[in-house]
Amino acid sequence: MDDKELDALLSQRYAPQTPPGLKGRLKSIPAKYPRPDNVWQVMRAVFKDFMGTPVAGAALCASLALGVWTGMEVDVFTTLTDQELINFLTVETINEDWL
Amino acid sequence: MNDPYREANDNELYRRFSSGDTVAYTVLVDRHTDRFYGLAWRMCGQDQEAEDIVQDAFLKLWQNPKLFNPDKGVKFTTWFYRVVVNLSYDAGRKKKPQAAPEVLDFMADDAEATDEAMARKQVKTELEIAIQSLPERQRTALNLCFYEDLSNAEAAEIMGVGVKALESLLMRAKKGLKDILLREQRAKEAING
Repeated sequence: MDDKELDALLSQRYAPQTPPGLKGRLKSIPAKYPRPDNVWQVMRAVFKDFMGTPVAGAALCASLALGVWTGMEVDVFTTLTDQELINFLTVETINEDWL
Repeated sequence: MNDPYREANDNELYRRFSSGDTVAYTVLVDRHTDRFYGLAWRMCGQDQEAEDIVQDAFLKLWQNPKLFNPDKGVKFTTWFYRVVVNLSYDAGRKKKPQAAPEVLDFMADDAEATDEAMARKQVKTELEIAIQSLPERQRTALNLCFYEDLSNAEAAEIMGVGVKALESLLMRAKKGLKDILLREQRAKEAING
């Protein structure tokens, strides 16, 4: 077999087809695995609505964001004090500048 | 109306995506899934494994956007090819030796049954088994240069080798394939008398 024959054979190789649904699964990755920076976007968006009530607003937006990020129920976080929230955020190695 | 996402090049999209823009991520998925799935399949020869490799690659991308710097003059696709190739190596080292039928999955739902079609399938199957039995770096060189339409320089960059080393891998891959296919042919001839 010479090179030309081999090239001709190689050009007949099976051409894989992307499975149906794969693109959809790949596109759902951001929703399934929220990144901390996305959590921050959520926090910022929520915080805007609570301008003027920083303590309540910060606690609430942190709660919502943590809920989104961790997939836990939001209520779990609304019962925490501000300091407990900060401790939680620190433990989870979120950038302290965000706080 | 112009769509800024569709018009943006990959590196521009990556910049947006790395600052949390999920639409930019979605456009990258749309644009490149077929290409990277194709490479992953050619690296492993199996549907499910190729799918897992591509999912792992995109998950890695999503979770660690700082792994790639779009401002360093490297194309996104060059870098991502490298990610897919490395994940394919990892998957290949983890898996147990496969029996031939795993490679033949692609034939399973093909309804063609003529002699000619069967013969074509047979050729494709033998070729696939031969390619899958090449050493991984030779197989990578062959896949990148022959099926991804990349220049030798691009393929060499993806593999982290010089162009000469890439050409040597390619040459050895083709020689290896010829040897395997010739052995197969002789074995068949011996059986058929």
